[in-house]
Amino acid sequence: MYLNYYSKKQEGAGLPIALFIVTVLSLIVVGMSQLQESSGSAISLQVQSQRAFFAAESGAQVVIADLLKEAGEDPVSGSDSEYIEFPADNGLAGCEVTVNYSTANDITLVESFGVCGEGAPDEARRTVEVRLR
Amino acid sequence: MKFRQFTAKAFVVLIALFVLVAPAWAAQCSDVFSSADGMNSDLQTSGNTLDLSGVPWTNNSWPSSGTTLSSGDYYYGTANLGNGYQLSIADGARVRIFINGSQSFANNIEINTNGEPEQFLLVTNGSLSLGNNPVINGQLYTTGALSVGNNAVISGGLAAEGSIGIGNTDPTVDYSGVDTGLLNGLCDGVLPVFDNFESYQPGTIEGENGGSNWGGAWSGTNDQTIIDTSDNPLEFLDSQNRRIRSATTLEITGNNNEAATRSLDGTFSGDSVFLSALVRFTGDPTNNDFVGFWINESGFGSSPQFGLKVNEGSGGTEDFFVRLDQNADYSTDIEVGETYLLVAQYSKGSEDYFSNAKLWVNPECGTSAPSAPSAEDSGFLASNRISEFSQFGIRSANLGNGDAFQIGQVAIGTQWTDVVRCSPGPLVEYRMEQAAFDGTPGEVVDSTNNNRNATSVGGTQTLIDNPAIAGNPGTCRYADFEGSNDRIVDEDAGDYLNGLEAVTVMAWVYNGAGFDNNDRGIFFTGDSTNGRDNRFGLRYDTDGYFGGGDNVIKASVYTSDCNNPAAECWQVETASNVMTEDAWQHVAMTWTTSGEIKVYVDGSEVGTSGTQGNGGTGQLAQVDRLEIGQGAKGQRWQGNIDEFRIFGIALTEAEIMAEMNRAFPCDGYGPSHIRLNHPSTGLTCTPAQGITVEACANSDDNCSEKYAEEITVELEPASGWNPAQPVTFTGASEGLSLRTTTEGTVTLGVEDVSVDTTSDPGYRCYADGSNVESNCEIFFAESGFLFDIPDHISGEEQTISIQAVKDDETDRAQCVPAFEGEKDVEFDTVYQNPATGTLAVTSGLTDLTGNNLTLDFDDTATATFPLQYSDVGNVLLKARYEGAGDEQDLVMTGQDDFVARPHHFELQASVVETGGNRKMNPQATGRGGDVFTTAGSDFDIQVKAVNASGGATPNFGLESPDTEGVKLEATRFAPVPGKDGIFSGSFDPFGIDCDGGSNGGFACGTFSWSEVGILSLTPSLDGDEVYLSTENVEGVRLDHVGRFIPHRFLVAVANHGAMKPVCEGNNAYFAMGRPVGWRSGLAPELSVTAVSEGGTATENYTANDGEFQYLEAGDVERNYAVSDNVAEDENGNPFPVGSEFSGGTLDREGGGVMNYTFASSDTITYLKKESAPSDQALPVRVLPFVPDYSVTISEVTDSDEVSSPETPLPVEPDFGSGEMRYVRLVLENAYGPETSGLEMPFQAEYFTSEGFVRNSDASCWSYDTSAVSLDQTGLSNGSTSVTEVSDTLDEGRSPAGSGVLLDAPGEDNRGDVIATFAVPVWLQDDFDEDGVLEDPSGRATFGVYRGNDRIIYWQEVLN
Repeated sequence: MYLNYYSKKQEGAGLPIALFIVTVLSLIVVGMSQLQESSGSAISLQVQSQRAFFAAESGAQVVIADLLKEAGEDPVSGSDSEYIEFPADNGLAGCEVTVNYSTANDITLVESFGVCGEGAPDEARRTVEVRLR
Repeated sequence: MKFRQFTAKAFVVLIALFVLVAPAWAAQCSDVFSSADGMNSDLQTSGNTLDLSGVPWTNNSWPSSGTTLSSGDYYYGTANLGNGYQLSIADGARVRIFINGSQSFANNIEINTNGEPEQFLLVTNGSLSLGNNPVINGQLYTTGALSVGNNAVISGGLAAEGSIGIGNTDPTVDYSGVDTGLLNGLCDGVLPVFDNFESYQPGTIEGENGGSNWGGAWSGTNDQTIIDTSDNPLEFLDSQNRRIRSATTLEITGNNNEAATRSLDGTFSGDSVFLSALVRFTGDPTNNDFVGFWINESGFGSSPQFGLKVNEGSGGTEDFFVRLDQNADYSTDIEVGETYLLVAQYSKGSEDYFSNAKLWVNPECGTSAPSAPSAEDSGFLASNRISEFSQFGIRSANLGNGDAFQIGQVAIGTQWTDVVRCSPGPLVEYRMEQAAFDGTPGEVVDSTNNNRNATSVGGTQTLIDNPAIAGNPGTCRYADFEGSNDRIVDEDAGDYLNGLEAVTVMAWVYNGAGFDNNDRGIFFTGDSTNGRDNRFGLRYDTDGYFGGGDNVIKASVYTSDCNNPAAECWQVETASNVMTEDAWQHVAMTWTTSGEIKVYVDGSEVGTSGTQGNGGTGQLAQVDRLEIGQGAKGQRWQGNIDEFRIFGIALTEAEIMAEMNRAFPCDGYGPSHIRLNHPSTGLTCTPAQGITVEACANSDDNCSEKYAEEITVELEPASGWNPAQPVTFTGASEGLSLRTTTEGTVTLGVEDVSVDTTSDPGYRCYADGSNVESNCEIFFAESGFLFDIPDHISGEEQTISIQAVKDDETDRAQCVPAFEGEKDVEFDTVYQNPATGTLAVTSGLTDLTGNNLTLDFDDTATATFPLQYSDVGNVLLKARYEGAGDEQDLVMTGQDDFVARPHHFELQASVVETGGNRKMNPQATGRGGDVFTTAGSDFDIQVKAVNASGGATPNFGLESPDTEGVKLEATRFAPVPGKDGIFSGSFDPFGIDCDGGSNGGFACGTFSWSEVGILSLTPSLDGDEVYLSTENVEGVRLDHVGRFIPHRFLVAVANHGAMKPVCEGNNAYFAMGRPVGWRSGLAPELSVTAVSEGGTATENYTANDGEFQYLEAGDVERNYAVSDNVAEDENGNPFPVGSEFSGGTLDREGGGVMNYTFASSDTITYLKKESAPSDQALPVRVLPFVPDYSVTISEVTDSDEVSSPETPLPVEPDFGSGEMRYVRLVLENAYGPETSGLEMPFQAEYFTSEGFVRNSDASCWSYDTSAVSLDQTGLSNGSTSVTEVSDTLDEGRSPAGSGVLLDAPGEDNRGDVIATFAVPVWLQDDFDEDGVLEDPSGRATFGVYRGNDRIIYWQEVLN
């Protein structure tokens, strides 16, 4: 089929306008979608980060409670590392924490490394440090 | 809130629905195949599965394609059967195939294509796959998935515990097999039910729960009782001698609509049902004597019924009925004492109620109902439309005194074979009734109609003069073997004996060859030339070998598991001295495929002394022929054999006994011989008295069995008899007299007998009461003595009048005095019965045996003299006078006999205790009396026959042919009321006392009484209760025999009890350290039954308010375990458990049964902290576990030392699924401004593998915070206090606002307050791990919380 150049002269801007609108709307949709995706990822990262922080805090609390209990009236001392993996039905599921502590000059440094979603794109790590005497 | 209410209601409704619906999940047959589309899938989920636990899965090979199967269950393994595999089922047969594993059929299989769906069931223990184009009529069931290819034509139903996948065609639904018993035994069908009462003890049927598949025990009124009919069993035989027998019978004697009733285990609503009853009527059948068997409704005509209605009520002649309402159809005119098998069928038509009733009277024991019933009824009332039933019962009416309707068994089922369960008849039966054998093939007739006739060899003959069971009916003719060559042979016996998996052989045998090297055979089935018991056979052996006994019987088989036909395969040798000689004996042997051989003598199993061989299992093999009268060692039978039968099953002892006693009418059967009893002398002036004639059934000298039919005998001489000849009698005639006036000898004889005698000569004479045959002569003298000695009590003096007479010269038939004055008369005595004696007949001090008495005869020639005899029995006294001088050559004789009987009997009871000491009867008179022996145990009673002077009468019990004996009548002295129990036993022959010494006039017997209490025993003559045809002898009652106590207690745990958890609910739990008691009303219960040695309940133990009960609650000793049966503490030691308990209660349930109930206050405590070995022991902190705890009943012994063999007996209380947890209460810290109050929440926790977690199941502990104490020393100023709160934990937590509430101490009053909550031990914990349990405590900080001073800083690292 071919246009009939001889039947009637073609006039008007409808088609260009329509093409413009479609193009603009498409760009808007694509842009919003990317924005939404970016926002979702950011929120996910933020949640994971917060969970990692809580994991680090929890690890520190567990170890410090034990250290204080063991020490009694004596200065806190010791050197070790503890690893805690939170169970699947826990609020910190998928998180783990490694707590290292060591004593030097009667001061004990406790470092708690919390990590959630390890190996995943939204992996988050937070560290808490506590000094005891 | 509304929602919550709705939810609660809905939950209750759901629970109720669950409870109501749950029983339906118990896989009724109709539940399995119930879907309207024929596909019943996922049955595992619904629970409506078949119960295949009893299926003996076996990997047998499938039959080849095209095979037609007969009725039965078939067990196959999985197999690749290829395309087009076909199986057919025989007409009317019912086949069930069980496949052990998942099975795949290829395309185009065809199974039962010409039969009905109700004939076939296929069960696959796994998944089942059918290829394309299968054609099957039947029910298919799989424990896995079921898949069917395209174009399937299946009529029946599909059922799978897993999924069902089907191609492009659906099955045509036909579940008729479910109603007709195709699934019997695989699901909880209500029918069939069956009860033959054989397991019941005599007495009421109330509470008896035997039989099979019923829903409960019998109920019965006083109009019925269970009786022992073993002596006269009900027995039905069909034309092929298949039989149903009952030795224990329900007897209906009174009238009641519900004389006996019983429930089914559910409701039957099928379309057709069969019912049967084995019955017998005794008494006087008069119009409308009625006993009916009903379903559901007991009233007159209110339900389908069948049974007895004499004379059709009135006016008719037939007596058995069947009906649907009040109008019946009838069959058969009953004969009193005959056994009948009644079978009824009720079936539905187009509507759902029974509209047709049929009755068969004495049908054949086939596999289906005979086409023509004896009676049929189709009329019914609209009000009688019974469509289902769950109750069965017996109604009686109009039975009079002396009428009894005996019921041997009842059965209800959907199949004919459910209710007609006949034992097979014999495979062969040789009754030896032929008048003679001459070697003609097949002349020895098999009376079973199996046409297995045999042939006599060597001149075997038949006789009838001395049958095993005398009389008519009896065993009649029998085979006589001369011992060298005689035998009876069936050359084809291997055809029906080889391949059998059980067998019984029996015969009456008479050993006429003594005991000298007797290896003679009763039967053998092979070549005996090698002298080995290497075939199926039975023989005598005076010198047993493998068992080492003497005079034994040997039974042998050769079976398929043996591979050396030349050696013994399996042989059993009985205990010694079971052979007899010159007497009939019934011998039987049974064998089963398991290799067990039993030998029975006279109906009772005898022990074995040894065996030989290593086989004997499998099928009977190597039977070449049957030779009766042949032995394995080649020795042939010498004597007689009769009633030889072989069955294809192993009969029971009772069945063998019944077969042994089987008697038949005898054709042409007459007495063995005629016996003439007569005096040897007489006088011409008076008739000779006391002549009797007897018709003897047996050939023995004692005429021990009389011929039972009436006969007429014509005696010789032809005249002189009174009454005149001939004489007609049954058994024995009255006394006859014979007169002759001519001095001389008269010879007696028998001129003619109405029935031919079987012995030759046909009569025998016995003079003067002797059992020695005489010459039949009576010498009549012209003069002699006449005297009459009356029968009298032994030891009582008799005055005898003796007259000397002679015949009158003018009338020789008259006696006149012979002389007068003193004469020396010689007397002599003859012991006639018994034939010997030790005590003399005396006159004063003169022994009348061969001595003279000087008698002074008066003018009537009469003199008197005293006579004493201190023994018993029949004695003949003879008098003889020989004249001298004028009377030279005068010899006068005379004689008379008399019977002296005992004055009375005396009893003495004793028992031999362990160690051999004899303990005499303590003659207890009540509860406080000493113990004699235990119920059911043997004890001795010695009886002494006593004369008038108190001395023993040594001849008692030595009489013949029937020795006199003593029986005992036992009556219960105490308790009253009580049960009579069963008193059994008998005396051994007289002459031996209870110490085993020879002691004339004494006898000892072993007796037992099945009950508890005190007996009274009265002795009296047994048998005809007349001593030698004179009079009865009274016994002296022994008033008190006892006390009898139970033999033992049977103790059973009736209820193990259930423990009450801390909190109820779905997750009920128990807590360590918290005492656990019984749930309300669920304390453990023991059933304690006092029983006899035989195991029957001694009902008198609890009778009369326990007059003879010595068991008290304190006699039940219990040991509460000190640890759990399984659980361990943290050190691996048994978990410690403490207990506190007090005595239980013992209640009498009656019938010898007592019920012991644990005290409701008993508690056990799983210890939270061990009390031992020291206070240093740590708390037992272990993971939760389900308790497993036992209380041991260590001893149940009453003060008579009656104890229980069941102890020690564990009682294992039910903890449900509740866990035993280590629980504690934790008080949380709190902080806040000093100007505000503080709440310290607390929660219950329990120890888990992840440490302590909240005990969310704790929603029942009620607390009061007034138990909280405060340490306020850490408070700078002011004070605080606890606002007391009472509440209950909610899912383990203190509800908000209900924790420990502390008041505000006020401004500037800062610092710490330690709150300690005083809680029970089970909520404490060793918080500081010092080994001591503490109450929970927490810290409340008022003012600024400054943190822990030990922490320098706490920060996140951000790099």
